[in-house]
Amino acid sequence: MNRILAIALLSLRSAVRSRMVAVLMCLLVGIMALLPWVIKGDGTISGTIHLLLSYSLGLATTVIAMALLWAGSFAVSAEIQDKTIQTLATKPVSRFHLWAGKWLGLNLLGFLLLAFCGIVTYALLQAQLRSDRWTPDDLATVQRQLTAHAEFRPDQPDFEAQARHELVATPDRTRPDDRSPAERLQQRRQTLIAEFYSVRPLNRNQWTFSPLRGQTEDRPLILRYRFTSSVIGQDAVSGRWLIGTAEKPDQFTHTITHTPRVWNEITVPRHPDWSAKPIVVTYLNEDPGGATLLLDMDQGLTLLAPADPFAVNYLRVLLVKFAQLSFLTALGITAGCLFSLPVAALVSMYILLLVQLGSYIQGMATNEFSLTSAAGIERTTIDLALIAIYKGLAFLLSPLVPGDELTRLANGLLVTWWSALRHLTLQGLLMALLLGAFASYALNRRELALPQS
Amino acid sequence: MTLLRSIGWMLLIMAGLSVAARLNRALVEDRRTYGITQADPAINAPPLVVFTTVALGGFRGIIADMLWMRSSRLQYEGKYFELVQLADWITKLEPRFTDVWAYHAWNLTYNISVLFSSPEDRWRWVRHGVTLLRDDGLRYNPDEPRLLFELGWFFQHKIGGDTDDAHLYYKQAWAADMQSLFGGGRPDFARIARDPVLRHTLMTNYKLDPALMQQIERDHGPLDWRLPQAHAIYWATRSRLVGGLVDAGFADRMIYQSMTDAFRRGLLVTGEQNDRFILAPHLELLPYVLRVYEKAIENPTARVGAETGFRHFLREAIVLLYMYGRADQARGLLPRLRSMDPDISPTATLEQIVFSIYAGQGDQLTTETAYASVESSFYQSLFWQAMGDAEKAHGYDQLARLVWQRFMAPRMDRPDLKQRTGLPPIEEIRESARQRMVDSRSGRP
Repeated sequence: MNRILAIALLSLRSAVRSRMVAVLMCLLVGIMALLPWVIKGDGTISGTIHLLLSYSLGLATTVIAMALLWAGSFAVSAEIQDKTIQTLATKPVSRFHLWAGKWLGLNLLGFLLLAFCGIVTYALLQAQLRSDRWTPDDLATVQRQLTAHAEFRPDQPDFEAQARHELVATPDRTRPDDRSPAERLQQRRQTLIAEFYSVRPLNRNQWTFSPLRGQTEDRPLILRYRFTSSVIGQDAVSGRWLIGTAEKPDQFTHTITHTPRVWNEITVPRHPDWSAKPIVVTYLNEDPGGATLLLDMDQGLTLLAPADPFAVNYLRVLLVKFAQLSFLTALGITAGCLFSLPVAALVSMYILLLVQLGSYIQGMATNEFSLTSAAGIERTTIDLALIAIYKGLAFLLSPLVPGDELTRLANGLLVTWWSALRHLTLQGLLMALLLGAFASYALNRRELALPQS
Repeated sequence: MTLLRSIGWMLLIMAGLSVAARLNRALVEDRRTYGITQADPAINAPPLVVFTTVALGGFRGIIADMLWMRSSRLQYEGKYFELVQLADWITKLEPRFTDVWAYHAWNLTYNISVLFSSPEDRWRWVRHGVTLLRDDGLRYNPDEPRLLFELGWFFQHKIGGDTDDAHLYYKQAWAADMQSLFGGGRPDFARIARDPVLRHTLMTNYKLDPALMQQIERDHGPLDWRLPQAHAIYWATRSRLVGGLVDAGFADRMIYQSMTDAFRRGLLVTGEQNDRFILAPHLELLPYVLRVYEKAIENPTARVGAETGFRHFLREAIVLLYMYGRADQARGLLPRLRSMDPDISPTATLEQIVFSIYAGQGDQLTTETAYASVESSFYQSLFWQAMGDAEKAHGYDQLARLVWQRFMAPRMDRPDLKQRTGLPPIEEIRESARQRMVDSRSGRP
């Protein structure tokens, strides 16, 4: 262990002395100092806080990742290039110890940089909240935004099984149907989901949520939803929400005229029954314009329960970010073990670029239509090749693409300890150590003491 | 020796850069002369934008695409916090691409604003769009008629029109801004010339050139600069000054439409306590509106639309003037209307024409015409009351209440329609008519 620590300290010292890392650190300080003042928000305190968290911290994490990737690539490849590795290679230090020492040292650097950025961002956030630009109402809004809320979604039936059962039990033979069985199943499933989330005019629909067990807070819940209206151009739809239990579904009622396409939130005082019994949420569509209301099928209806203060959630997000940085550091060192310095640096930066573009690549892979040149009618060979490339890239990048933790933090959604722990163990430790094992295997195969190596 | 060599290289580099800079000017000039460049180097651009556009070269298009994709995704997901910043970056990456400016300003002003229910939120987004075009778009493209026209359109249609539920809030918010600037509806140009701070605010924050405003006042009459029509005319005039024939056609259309609107509701009545916001007809603008139409008809690209617009304006003006007891002025417009409108009988009297136009409009009165009908009837009522003719005064009073009731009847059960196109309470309109009468007696306009 002492050997690993010694190598770790040496690699930390070497990284701190690196000019490139110094330049990136200056860039980091510049970002932290300037970015909050140059970003244009939407003029609300929520927007300002959102941008401060997602842009400052997001960009800072990217710059730290660049610094660590560079330092990681440099750590081994430069020593091989200038032959200082020979002093280590001739000592009784295993290749894995060498890799682990470098990784530990650079992780320490990453930890310090991330902690610096975390503290500066937190201080800037507190300064924003103390600014006299904002009214008490603004501050109340932002308090709600910053508190970490646990999300509860309605219990959904098994749409797949239900669709399969309906198609087998009552096949529609009244009209010719040239769709394949898989297409019919898929379309029936979509219809069932749409029916689950829609409310016809002058009608009602109900959703059941599991009891809020383990929720000791007595602060109110928030019902959050977004919907579209079947009447095009309609700016406001009126209706009524009832929330309660199966026996008493109207323990809370709220008549509302709400707006399609935007996120609507209703504060719901907590009822003691809801900790033990399932919560039934009912919507009565009373719109005189005859609009059918369709809730967003992906994240349409959510109950939010206050769970943790902002600082705790913030700490967990920083831990998740640290896990991602730890993995990228491992990637950089591994690239340095495999290639010469310029190639290793190039490969690392390329991977970082791909990781940053990961969400776009995944989006393109999911939406094959956007990759098809002839508007989806006839796919050419090039289209098929493109689709295959994007799908392959998306698959390879799936463990690397950063999650939406920063967005969740800025939106006041809980990032759980379990999530932070999972990132730390899987991404920050296990995947990194796997890379370490591969790198030490490659180093073992590589002759380090040759004059031309 | 090494130091000397380094100094030598440095000198050589500086000399090379100097020569390149000199040659570059000539090259840019040649490119412009032979039309082989799509855009001149960005004018007035800050160093960061020049650096971005030059250093990123063709790659800036890719970055702009990525930002645009993010912007569309966030907008689709209902996350609007970043959109102002993304629009700012996208436009800065393509600072000479006017369609990009126009699209993003439009998106903020029209598409996003209507997604909010509160007028304050909506107004913030409308302002974001106006600011993007006015403060940045025009900074990099100062003589771009399309952007000037788009800005004018925001004032004419988004703020000045009534298609948006929050249009009254926009008008009030803009009027409050202008009130604090001018201290009223009419700018005191002598004070602006004397007060460097005010002049600077006007030119820097609002991009309003006092000289051009004065020119517009001379050409288009005593406009109320708290209202959006005056600003639509201002930006359309700027577009006309720098644009070609087609741009001038568009600008002319905006000018005569805004003048018509100003005639219809270009007089802001705020009351002595400043507690009212009533838009009333500005009848003094009549000769200016007539002149604007005559001028637009001379422009071949605007003629057809201008003739149609003029015909409608004359019909509306005759009715309004008659209602406000200006029968002579209304009669003066008849020959022009007869020459343009085959539906008007050459032998019909003014009263017959007014009745036919008014009855024809019965079911399709706009809010402004309905307001004018009610207020002018009250005005007549008060006038005849002062004259001692109680019967006539009562008749006009009855007429005013009848028009108000008929207009409001279909709106009583529809709060959204009532809020958007409804009339103020009837007693408030009566008070406005009384104030107008007091003003006219004291000689105030």
